Amino acid sequence: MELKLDRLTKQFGAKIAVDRVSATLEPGVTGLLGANGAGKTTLMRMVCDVLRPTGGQILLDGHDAQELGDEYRALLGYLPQDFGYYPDFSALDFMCYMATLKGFGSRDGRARSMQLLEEVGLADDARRKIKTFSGGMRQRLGIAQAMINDPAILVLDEPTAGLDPKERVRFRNLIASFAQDKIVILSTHIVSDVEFIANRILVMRQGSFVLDGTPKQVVAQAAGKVWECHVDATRAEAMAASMQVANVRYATDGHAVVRVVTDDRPMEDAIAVEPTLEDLYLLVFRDDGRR
Amino acid sequence: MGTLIKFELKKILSNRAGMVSCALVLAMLAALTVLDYTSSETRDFFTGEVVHGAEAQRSSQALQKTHAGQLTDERVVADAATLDRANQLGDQEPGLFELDNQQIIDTYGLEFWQQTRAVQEDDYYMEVVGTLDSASPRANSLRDGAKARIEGMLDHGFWGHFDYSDAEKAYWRSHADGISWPLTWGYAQGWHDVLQWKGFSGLAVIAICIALSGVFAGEYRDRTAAVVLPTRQGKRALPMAKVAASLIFTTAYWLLLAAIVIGARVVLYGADGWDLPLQVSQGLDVPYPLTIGQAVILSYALGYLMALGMSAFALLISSKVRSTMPVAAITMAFVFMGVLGLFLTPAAKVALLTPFTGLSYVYDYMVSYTAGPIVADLPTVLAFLYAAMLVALTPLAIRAFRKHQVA
Repeated sequence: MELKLDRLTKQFGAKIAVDRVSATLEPGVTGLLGANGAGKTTLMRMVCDVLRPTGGQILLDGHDAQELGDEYRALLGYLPQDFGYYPDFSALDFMCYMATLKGFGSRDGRARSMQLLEEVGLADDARRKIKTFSGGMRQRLGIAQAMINDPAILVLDEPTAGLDPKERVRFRNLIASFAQDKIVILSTHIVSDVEFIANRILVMRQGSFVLDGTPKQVVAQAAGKVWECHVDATRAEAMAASMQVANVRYATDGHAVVRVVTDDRPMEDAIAVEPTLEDLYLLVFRDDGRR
Repeated sequence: MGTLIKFELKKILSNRAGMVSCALVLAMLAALTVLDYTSSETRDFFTGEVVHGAEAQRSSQALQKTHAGQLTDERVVADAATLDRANQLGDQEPGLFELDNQQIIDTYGLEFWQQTRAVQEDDYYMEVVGTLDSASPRANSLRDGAKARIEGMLDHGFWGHFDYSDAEKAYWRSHADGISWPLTWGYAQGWHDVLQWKGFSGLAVIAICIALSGVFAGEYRDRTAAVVLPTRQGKRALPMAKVAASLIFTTAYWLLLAAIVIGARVVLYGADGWDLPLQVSQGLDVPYPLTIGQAVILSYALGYLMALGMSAFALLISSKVRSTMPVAAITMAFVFMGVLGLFLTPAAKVALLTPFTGLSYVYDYMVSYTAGPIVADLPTVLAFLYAAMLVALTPLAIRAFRKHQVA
């Protein structure tokens, strides 16, 4: 199976949110990285057929998704960024409702709903109204509804928002096991989520893909641009104000170890270190925060 | 589909504002019925005593039963003579006009009051003899009197503003010709009140529209559209299930409303009179050849059709906006503009096409509309208008939801 984004464009008035984006997605987890406003959510909405592109098309195995219609949507699982729910529905009701929408019969839908609630740790709360759930529980319910039809294409927009570290690990494992033969598109601000489970990373900036590759390939773009500097506390503060600092760690002797992301060696005795995906993120989006 | 409809009904029933509105309207209509009953007051014809509530109702029923029977020519001539005699007796007593009922009884006795003021103030004599007097000279049959009364209204125009065309006059005359004479008079207080208050059912239409305001708009507002639309059934079966659930809700609510409004009147006043001619309840100038029961059924069936049409209207607005507030506001404005429109005479006939005013006037007045050679009365126009709204607007609402863009 292959999902091809062909010069996909979305324009809102004069603003171009997604600008002629092209990529071919294959089974596995594709991590979508980008700052706020980069166009990730707009792109995902178009992939999920809830937002019509201004230009370009989405092709599933060579067939236009628009023309496939219900057939295409039947393959989707989608967790939107702001997951909407029905406050007066119980978790089980909501899952059964989603199961019905995804083509399950009553009995099968209920069984599948309970199975998914079990997997996301909500089985004991299945009959509680969603409005009584914590943010993390709602997010887990959102993940469960997205997976209920065992989708061939799973689109997750900020799925780990609101989850505690233990839940995030649980979620990552769930996705990793799920993504064997499916296309999973995962957008997140939490770089480590992508770093651990993505086979491929797309970095999006101002509506376009600026980097595309395996995590190793993408991270390699930052090679030679990440430095560690041993400085005193005063200097560390000055560096944080003027450079892209990834981390500051204070040693017991009062000195600071400053991790800087920059094209040029920031100081004489700066040491080049191995970059991480987070370093790469800071490198690509270093100008966005200053604008 | 059935499961989806069940879930959609659950969502409608979860709309707190809508449910409160629906309950308030039902409570208000039930309260009006009970208040109307308990606050009624009349002077008993047989005892001369003022009686209230249930006793007043029994007293009115007893008096009405004295008038029950066929209104043959001989009978109405005798009734006219009874009223004439009451007027003559009254004229013979100087100053009687200035006395109230109790003073007449105290001064002249119960029997004199029964022969004079009680007759003069009896709705039966006012209606029957008043109709005979519509002809000049006085008609000797109720049929001729009613004909003269209707002709007078046709010459005068509706509300003295909308002249009847020749085609309209012919239309109403042919309606009146369908009435079967002689009429049978009798007690029909419960059904009369049902017909008098039928316009208030228009308030139920507002409550229904508020209840349905979130059917589509709620999905946009609560951001659930992004979850439900990208599914196998999201753009096909779901919007149809939403429409079906909405219409089922409207139907159930309307049945409940009719059961409460009609049931309460029947329990309090009795079911007598449903088979009497409509003219007994609504006046001898009404040209519809219907029984009271038929008019009640047609009025509520028409109200139901209007409720369905307005539901479709509410669904269309709901499918186009991201907040439930405009749905409630626009439908309320539509209903209340109709009430206000009645005060603006040239706009009255348009105002009568709205639920509250329209239902108030059906089967009571000669309201007709013409388009070229075609003439249609108010109930017919309302039926076509709201059926057209139902048929035309629901597909538009479905289409708008299918094409909704999550942005």
